[in-house]
Formats: sequence, C-alpha cells, structure tokens
Amino acid sequence: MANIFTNISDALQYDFVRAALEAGTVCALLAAAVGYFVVLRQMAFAGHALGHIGFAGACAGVVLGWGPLPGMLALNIVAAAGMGALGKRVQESDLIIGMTLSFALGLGTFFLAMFRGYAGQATTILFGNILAVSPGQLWGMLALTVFGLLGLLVLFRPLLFATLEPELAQAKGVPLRLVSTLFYMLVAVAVAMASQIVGVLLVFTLLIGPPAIALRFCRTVWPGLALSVAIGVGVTWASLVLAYVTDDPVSFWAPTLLFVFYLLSAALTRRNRHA
Amino acid sequence: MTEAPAIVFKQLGLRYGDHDVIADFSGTIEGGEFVAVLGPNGAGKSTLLRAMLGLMPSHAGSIEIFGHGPHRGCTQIAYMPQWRSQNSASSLSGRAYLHAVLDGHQWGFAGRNPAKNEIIHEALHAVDAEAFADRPFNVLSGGERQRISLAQSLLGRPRILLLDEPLLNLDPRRQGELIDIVHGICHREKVTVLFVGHDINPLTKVVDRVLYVAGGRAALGSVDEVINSESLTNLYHTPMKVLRLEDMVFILAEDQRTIEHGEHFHQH
Repeated sequence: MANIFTNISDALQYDFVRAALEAGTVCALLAAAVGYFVVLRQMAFAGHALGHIGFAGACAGVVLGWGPLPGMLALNIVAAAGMGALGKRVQESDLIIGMTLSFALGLGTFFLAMFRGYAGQATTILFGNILAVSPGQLWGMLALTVFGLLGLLVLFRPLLFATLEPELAQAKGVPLRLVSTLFYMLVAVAVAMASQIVGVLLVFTLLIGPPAIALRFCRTVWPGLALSVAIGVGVTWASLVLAYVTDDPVSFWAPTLLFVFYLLSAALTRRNRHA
Repeated sequence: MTEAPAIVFKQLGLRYGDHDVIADFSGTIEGGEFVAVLGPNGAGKSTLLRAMLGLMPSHAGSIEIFGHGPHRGCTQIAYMPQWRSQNSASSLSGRAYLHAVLDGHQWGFAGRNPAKNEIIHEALHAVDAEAFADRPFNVLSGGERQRISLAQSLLGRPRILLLDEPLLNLDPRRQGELIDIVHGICHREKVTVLFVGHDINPLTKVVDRVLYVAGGRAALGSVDEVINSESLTNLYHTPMKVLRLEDMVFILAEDQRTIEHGEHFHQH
C-alpha cells in the first residue's frame, strides 16, 4: 500500500501527470453534470452520435492543422444546432441518428487517410490520450468547462421541466426547441471534452456512467447531480492512478470501474426495492 | 360587472393536418362546472385541450378563457397531460417532479424554500399523496402516479383544470378514488374541470355536463341530452344505439360493436 502512495507522489512530480489530473477533473466534471440531463432525457444514443461526429471533426481538424479539439468542437456544435433545429422526430429516431453517426465515422476515416500519421492520430482520437495534454490546452479546457457549467445553470429549470413534461412546459411558455438546441450544444462541448480523456469511442463512459449510477440512489435533482459529478471525478482520478501503477491505459480503467460500480449499484438498489 | 364564463367556444373549427377535428362548435362552460369530455380515440379530445392551452391555433371561430383568447403561460388554466411512459421509469420522486414543474418556466436555477415547499405540500395534501411523495416514480402504482400528476395541475391554484385521460390504466376502484378527489376539488374550490375519458359510466354521478367529440364535430349538454341514440347518430354520421341498464350506459354502433364499454383498460 505504502508503495502505491510513494508511486503516486512520485508521479505528481511530473508536469504531464499533474496536467492529466487537472484536465481529467474538469472534463469529467462537465460530462457528469451534462450527462445527468442526458440520462433523464433518455437521449444517450444522441450523445454517442455526437462523439462519432466529433471524430470526423477531430480528423478534419488534424488535416487542416487546427488540432483535434477545435475541429471536434466546431463540427459538434454545428451538428448540435442541426439536431436541435430538426426537432423531436429526428432526435428520437434511432435510424436517423445511426445513419448519421456511421457516415460521420466514415468521413473521419477519409480525413485521416489524407494524413500521414494515420494510425497514431486515429488511436489518440478514438481512445483519448489524457497524458498528452499541454498546459495551453488545459486553460482552454478550463474555460470550456466554466462556460458549459454556466450554460447548464442558466438552462437548469426550463431544461428539467421540458425533460419531465414537455407538453406542459410548452403550455407554460417554455420555448422547447430553443431549450433543446442549447442543451445539445452543451452536450456537444461535454462530449468533445470527455473524448480528450477516454476518446470518442468511450465518451459514453463519462457521459452516461456516473449519472446512471447516481440516478439509482438519488430521488431528487441536486443530490443526484452532485453524486454524478463526484462519481465522474472520482473514477477519473482512480483510473489515472491505476493507469500509472499498472501501466494499462486510462481508457481501460475508467469504463471498467464504472461498469463494475454500475453492476454493484444495480444489485444494491434491487435488494432495497424488494425489501 | 358579472364575470365572464370560464370557457366560451364560438363557431370553433380545429384542424389537424388536412382533416377537420372539430367544425362549427359553439358552447359555454360556466365556472365550477364538471364536464366530461368523451369520444372515441383520435376524435380530437386532446386537440381541443391543446387549443385551449394555446398550443395550437384554431382554424375558424374562437375560444375564450375568462374572456381572453388562449395563450401559453396562462396561470388560470392547468393541465394534466396523458401519462408519459418515459416518466414511469424515472427514479426521481413525486416531490422532485413537482418542484421541477412549479417554477420550471423560469430561467436559471433555484433551490427549495419554505414558500415553495408549502405550495407543494398543499397540492400533495389535496390529492392525498404525501405518503408516497418521496418514493421514486418507478416503484409507484398507476393510481399513485396519476395522483402525483394531478397534484402537479393544482400548483398555483388554477381556476380551470384540463385533465387528459386521468383514468387510463387504472382499475375500477382506483378510478373511483381519483374521480372523488377531482370532484372534491371542483366542488370546494369552484374550479372548472374538463375531464377527458372514454366511458361515461364511472363519471355519471359527478358530471354536470358532457362534451362529446366524434366524427369531426362536438356536442355539449347534459348526459341525457348528448348521450342518446339520436344525438350520437348525428355526431358519428352512422346509426348509433344507446342502451341503459340500471344506471349504466352502453353505446353501440349499428353493427353491435361496443364503442365505449370496457375500453378503459387498453394501452396506448
């Protein structure tokens, strides 16, 4: 045990480890907070699709020389605006979302083929590489997280109302389409951030995992949101430590830990429910 | 000055897509009336409620709510939508749901405070739902969920309640309980109730009048005025028979297929 702690304090001597820890914290925080509403709205698949669209954006960003994150953010936000504008029928269609995400993945592959460092870039975008975050990127991530959380706070009440009772919310004067478009944009940002840690293929992990567990335990919104964020950030820290100690990737540990926690939470709450 | 009636329909026409849902319908509903809104599936009962909420424009004529045209955000009118199956899976509690509805039309965020807690307590008390208000939705029975949903419509003390199929998926005993609660509120608070259902029988004892929607038209009147063979034949454009057995009413088409009886258990 002492050995592990020595290992961790040794690790923290390195700038890249500290940067990874800080980047991981802000990304996980935003993903878990936004994800709470994604799970409540049952739009997990749309979140997943934004990850794949982000892949095309990231690859285009690499080809254009902007870097993956700006490319991903740009295309994600355009896609989010489109999804919001197209309305409920498209948002709830598995077929339309499925077709779009596979097209986006194909488009990303096309961009990658134009680029020399094909394999390395692809792996980084698909599975993330939190250890490669530079201090400059860190400030950008922090700014995006603050922006995303402020956006969520502004949208908070109409978003929750529109999620639980859309028709009623509309009758009370909530602009449903505006609220849903703005929320899609927040999801777009959260997805782009989360994919820096775990990659576009595993965005689901940080977006859906923590709130799915939190919703099993919390009956009210604020505690649920707080637990979701705590789980997201906690799992990210634990994954970084485990990755450092075992030399296995963060993108293995984060989904594995969340999967195990989810099974445990399901087993626990199931027993409570029958008691 | 005497107060304007709760709801006035003037030669109202409503369209859904290309077809007329309701044409040339006129009628007045006074404050404190309990009106059953009946008719077959897809006849336009929900469309009529949506028009009263300002969610869809009228094609012809007008609706007046206490003398004003329908508009979104009207505080005098409350709405209990049909139960969404999505919410049945929710692990949020009824109380959390009511908090979300109470001030969900305002931007930004807010915590709870004693004033809001009191409003929610009152609404839960009115429908006798305090015992299960803190349990998650996904463990509640159908009747309990409907009562939480009804409590939602009472927030802010509205003067008109539009209830869309509150009896759906309830067994006869739970149906009776819910009707008694609504009737009590209507009677005590002088609230006007429009209660959408399939079957007049559970409601016969409490309704003042019936608004029947069928065949692209609507009729408003007492149970006997509207639910008789002649009036329904006119509405449906096909020969209809109304049979009475003790205090039960059965509505049949000429081909002997029951229109109403036993329809209240089916799924949507």
